Amino acid sequence: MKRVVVTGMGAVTPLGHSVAETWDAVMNGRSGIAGITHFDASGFSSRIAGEVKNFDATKLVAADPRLRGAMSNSLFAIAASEEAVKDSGLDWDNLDERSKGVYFAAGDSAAPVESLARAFAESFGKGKGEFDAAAYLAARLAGGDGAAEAQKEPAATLAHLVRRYGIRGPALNCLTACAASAQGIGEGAAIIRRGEAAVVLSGGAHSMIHPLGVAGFCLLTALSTHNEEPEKASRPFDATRNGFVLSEGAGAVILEEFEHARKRGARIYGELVGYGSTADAYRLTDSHPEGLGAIASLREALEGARVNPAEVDYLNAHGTSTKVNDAVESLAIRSCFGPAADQLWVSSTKSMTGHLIAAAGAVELQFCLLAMRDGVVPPTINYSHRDPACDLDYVPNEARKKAVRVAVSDSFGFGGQNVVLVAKKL
Amino acid sequence: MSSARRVVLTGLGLVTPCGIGGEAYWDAVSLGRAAIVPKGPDDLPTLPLTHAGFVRGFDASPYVKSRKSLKVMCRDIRMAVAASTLAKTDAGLTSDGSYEPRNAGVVIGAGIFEHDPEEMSEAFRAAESQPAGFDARKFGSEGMGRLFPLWLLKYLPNMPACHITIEHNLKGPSNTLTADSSGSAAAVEEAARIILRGSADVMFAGGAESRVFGGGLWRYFSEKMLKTGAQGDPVYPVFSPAASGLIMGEGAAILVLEERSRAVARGAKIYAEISGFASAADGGRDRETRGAEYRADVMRAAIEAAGAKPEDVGLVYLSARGIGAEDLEESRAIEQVFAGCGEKPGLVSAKAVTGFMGYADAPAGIALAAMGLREGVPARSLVPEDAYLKDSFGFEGRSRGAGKLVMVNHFESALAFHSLVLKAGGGES
Repeated sequence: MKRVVVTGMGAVTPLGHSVAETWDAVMNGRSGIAGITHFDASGFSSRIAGEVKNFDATKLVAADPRLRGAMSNSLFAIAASEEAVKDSGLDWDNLDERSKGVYFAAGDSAAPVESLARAFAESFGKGKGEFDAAAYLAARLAGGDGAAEAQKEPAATLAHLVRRYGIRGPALNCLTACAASAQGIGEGAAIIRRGEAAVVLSGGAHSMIHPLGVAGFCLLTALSTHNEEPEKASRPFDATRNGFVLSEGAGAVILEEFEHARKRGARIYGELVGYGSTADAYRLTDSHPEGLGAIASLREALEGARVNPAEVDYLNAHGTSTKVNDAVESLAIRSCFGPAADQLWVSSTKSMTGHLIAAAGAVELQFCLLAMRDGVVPPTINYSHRDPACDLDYVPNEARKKAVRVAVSDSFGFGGQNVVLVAKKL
Repeated sequence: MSSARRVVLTGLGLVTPCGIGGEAYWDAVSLGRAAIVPKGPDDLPTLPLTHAGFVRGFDASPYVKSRKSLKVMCRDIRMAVAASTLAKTDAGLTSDGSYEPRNAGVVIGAGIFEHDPEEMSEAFRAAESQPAGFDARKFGSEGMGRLFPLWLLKYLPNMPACHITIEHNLKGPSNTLTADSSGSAAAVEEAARIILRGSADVMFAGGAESRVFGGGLWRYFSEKMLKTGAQGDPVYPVFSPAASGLIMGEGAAILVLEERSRAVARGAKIYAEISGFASAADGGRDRETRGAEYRADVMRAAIEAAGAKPEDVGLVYLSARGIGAEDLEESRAIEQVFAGCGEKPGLVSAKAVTGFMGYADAPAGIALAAMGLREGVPARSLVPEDAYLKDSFGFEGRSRGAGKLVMVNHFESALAFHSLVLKAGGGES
């Protein structure tokens, strides 16, 4: 069985436009959360988000005109992938096209609310105040932006990546809610283990910070309403937490077959040694109350990695800052790790990044690998009130030094999707 | 494939314009009876479309345990869940004991689901403003509350898979692949991989899509992919110089994949063994000029993965969906792969029966090929008189498939090409 290592990383997050900027912010406990500026959110119950600030895709588009019209999630994905490819030191363009694969996790993109609104207005006019479906469709046809419609498909990002990076190996995009990019990385690594590609571009990209996206999560009462102090709104595992903070961005990683990387003298961040993927089969929005699905995915990942719980130095939690997730995840960790849970350092970097949805798992795996590189574990900021249901060491508020040899990253999603990755320092 | 584990198909669940279930689909294809029909007065409004493969009278309620769950399913999801229940029944599986939930999972191909505009209309009415048209603040303060609280969950791409895990108590791997219609071809392959690597013994895999109502056609319309020519013409020419675009269908196709020894041990009906498959992205530097060669590479790789040679293939189920350049390149790829074969494989296309069913298309093609292997009769094809390779390969009335492998192609330009090889039975050692 071939071994898989990470040799390149790239990120576009609310904390910066690169891995270095993002990591620096995380190490210093800075929050990327602020009031929503993408639209007037003053009427929403949650008015805060982790927006990517001052992102300018002009150069990307100028260099690749086929990106004209691409939505923000595709542009985030390309920007992060550019950094990851460069960071890997691979002579990308001269690699055999068939040895290159992609397994990404890009979400769908922003709904064009203005053009929808125009179509609805037309419909109400024609329908004498009532909704008239035929008039609505005719208005969409006449006044909508057809090109934008194609670009907001979740497959659009994959098509950009396949073309731009000259890929003729396997090409996939998964979308399993908040677990997606961890799943993409787990399955992307499996492609290399099978020998179907030497390198796989993986990661995730998402932006749901638009009126329909925010409305959807508000209606599910999933978002934090700590609007007055945005930077303190995401408070995973804290007793006063009341929801997650919606964020946007992308994380990209270059997965590479170990011998391929070793022969070219590549800098290796770490080896992917474990992957667990399970379903709760319970409810669409609620985790299983005993965390059975999460426990199963943790166990599968650790067993696959041949790692004992006591060997794990750091666990980057899914830690969304919702009441249920954080309690159930803590329970699952304690159940899976047993006595070793008392020594385990657990943190949720969502306290600083917010929740990047499909991109979260990739960015959080990067934090695990950087913790290994630098010997520092990132903190859970905004932690000040202990919750009896969350009784682990969450590395509160300040990064701590520790030699990290084995790290675990949890990613759980709506619908009972559970994915766990295990990485090891070489 | 070198793994000691092998993968067989033991259940097929189909919701197609031909009707509910595999038999309705098989019969329509075998008889060459097209299910592409005119839009009727009772059909929901849609963007310009005169004919489509509509699934008429579809009711998902017999296929779900909790009717309450239907409230959080759009039409595509309902079709997917119904097809999964049909597949499970066809496989002779029950949730109480015939599989270990932890060793059973799902991989579904699915994309954006078209929102029901009527459901959103009152929320947008509340956000009306002049002259801007849309007031986001009012949408939040007044409009949002007029939406169904679980509205978002009706349209997330991973919801078909999640409903299927809940409906059938599947606690193993669960994934959703969004790569346009190639996503569901990839889903079947990934499900097979999961079984081969030992992460599960039973997998549900396939896809669903309904873009024939509302604004679902918008994307294909804007990309000029819909069939042009005389309005009111129900004929869907594919794999021919007459190809002029898509005629849409809707549907769902979910397959049950099972580890072979387990299926044999329980005496399961085995349609076929998945003996090899391959895929490749359409991102090569010379993709504009080497489309046929790239497709041929994937077909050869799938045959090699099956431990076979081109002459072992008796039938090829075509990807061809009426897009001129795509269909022509597939025909050239087939010519290349089988150039050295004395006896050419027969060709099969069922698109003209159902229309292009999007994410349901690839798994429906695999199901058809599997049924053909079991029935022992190659499916007929509705193709034009001037179909490519008609004289050299042939479409109808051939019995060349007997005792040979069958190949199913699914090619999605600009994304990925997939070929999968099936062999009959799989029950023998």
